[in-house]
Amino acid sequence: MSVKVYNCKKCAAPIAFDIKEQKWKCEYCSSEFAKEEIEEKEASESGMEVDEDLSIKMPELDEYRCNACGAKILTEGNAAATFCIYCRNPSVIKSRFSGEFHPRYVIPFKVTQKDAKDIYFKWIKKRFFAPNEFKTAREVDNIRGLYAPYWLFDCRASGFIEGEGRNSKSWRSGDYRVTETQHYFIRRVGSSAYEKIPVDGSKSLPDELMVGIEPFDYLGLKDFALEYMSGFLAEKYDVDENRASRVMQPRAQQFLRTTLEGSGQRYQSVTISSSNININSIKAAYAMLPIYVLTNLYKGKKHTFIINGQTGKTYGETPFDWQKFIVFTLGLFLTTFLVTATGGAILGIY
Amino acid sequence: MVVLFFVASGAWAQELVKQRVFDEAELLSDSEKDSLQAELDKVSREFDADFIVATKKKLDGVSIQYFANQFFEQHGNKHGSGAIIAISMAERDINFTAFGKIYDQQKRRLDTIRASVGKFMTAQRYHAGFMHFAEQVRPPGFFGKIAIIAGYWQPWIFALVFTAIVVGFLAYNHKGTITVGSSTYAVPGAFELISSEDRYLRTTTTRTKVTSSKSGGGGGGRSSGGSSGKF
Repeated sequence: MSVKVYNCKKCAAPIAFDIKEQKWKCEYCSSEFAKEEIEEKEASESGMEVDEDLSIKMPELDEYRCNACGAKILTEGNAAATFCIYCRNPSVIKSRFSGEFHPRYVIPFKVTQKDAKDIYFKWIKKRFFAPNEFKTAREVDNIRGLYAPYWLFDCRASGFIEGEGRNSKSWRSGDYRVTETQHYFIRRVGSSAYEKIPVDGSKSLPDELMVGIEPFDYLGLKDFALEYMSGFLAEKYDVDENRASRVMQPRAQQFLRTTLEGSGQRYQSVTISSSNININSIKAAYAMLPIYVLTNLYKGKKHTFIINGQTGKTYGETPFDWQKFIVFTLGLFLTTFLVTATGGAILGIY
Repeated sequence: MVVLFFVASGAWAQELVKQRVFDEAELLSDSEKDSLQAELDKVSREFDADFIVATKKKLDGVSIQYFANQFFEQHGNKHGSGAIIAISMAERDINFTAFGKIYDQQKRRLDTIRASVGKFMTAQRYHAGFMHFAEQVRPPGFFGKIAIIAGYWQPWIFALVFTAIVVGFLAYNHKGTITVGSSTYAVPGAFELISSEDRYLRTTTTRTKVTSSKSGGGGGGRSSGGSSGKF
């Protein structure tokens, strides 16, 4: 059986995870279930989830059938949890969560789709240089809640930075202003450890936007269970651990560089001339983290916004209104000048 | 009868109208002197100050600033306010000095006024230059002040910096905020500074000249200042 549907223990209707209750809820009889109550009891099922041999690849089936109505389930690309387009039954494609695709962790959704829209509308209003008609649009073209595949990296970083630190003091001597700068060669050697640096494992999610919705609150991190996927869209990764690691390493290096720069003797200004930081003991865990992907069309161009499905933090390709920018900048510049000049004239500074 | 009337009116005029044009170098015609005198009288009355024009053939070794101060005390006043423009043809020296409250109003424009009158002198348009002086010493009105302030770089730079800060702040959050920093994913307490070296390299010293404003102390406890130059 490659498609999994979770059923209500009372009326056997399909059930989905309810974000507000943080429980599984039956739409028909309103019964609520905790995770333990709907977990599979069969040894073969649970055994597969715990003791999986990651080297064995499950054969990928081309076609899935809905357990409720028997219709063919259409799966786009890497979809691992989806809905039957005919009967709207939530369906979880097991093979896309097993073998090498079995996630270690999941953070369940905390933000509902309605909340996500509200968060977005509030957020976009505060973008000062966004075009007004884009800000006031009360509709979004497309929003979908998605369990995004993520790699969470643990690693150690060690290395050094070298550069120059400068301290200046300045005083007046007669008709001259004297500035004395002391230059120091600085070198800092150190190491640190990092936990669960997230890198998204999907080619279709732009990395620069995904950094913007970080951090996730890892207190909400749970061991993965298929049950959480029921009622949501989910994707399996198409960026493997090694490729994701190459995205993570420069970030970890930068973290240590910044920490080293701020350690030891402090200077008024520091220039780093060389650094070498090694990343080792890399451990990756595959996780499903909740996001909303929202797209809005503006002047024929698609603008993508990502909302953290746990914390609501938003980041996106806000369109930039250059006309507004230029008018505002010029207006502010002239106003500031006139206020300064008027103030100067009234106070007789000049 | 006619002569008597002439003398009487002359004495009357003498009492009321103070001489303000001293054209030793003979650069002005009589009618030019009269119109200049009238104009200087007008501004002098208007601002309760003495405005004087003095031309010299040569200075005989005294500095033009010294001459201007002395001349103003002698022909202008000793304790009040006013301004003098003095030129000497032999040395081609020109000086503009202001006293008292006129100095307070014009202290940042001493060089500007001296230079603008100096241009007329260079062009040998003496009458026009002295009339220009009579116009320039008027304390600027509100818009005049703003026009003067617009000539300084400081308010422009201030407006530029202020605008850049505000616009930068508003544009900074345009896409959202990156809140992940070097400590977000760091294991608490895991950072270890293995070694730290700070070696003194050198000290560099720079000197920049600070231009100090020149204002001469005038006599009689009033403030005054002048600007001298060549034309």
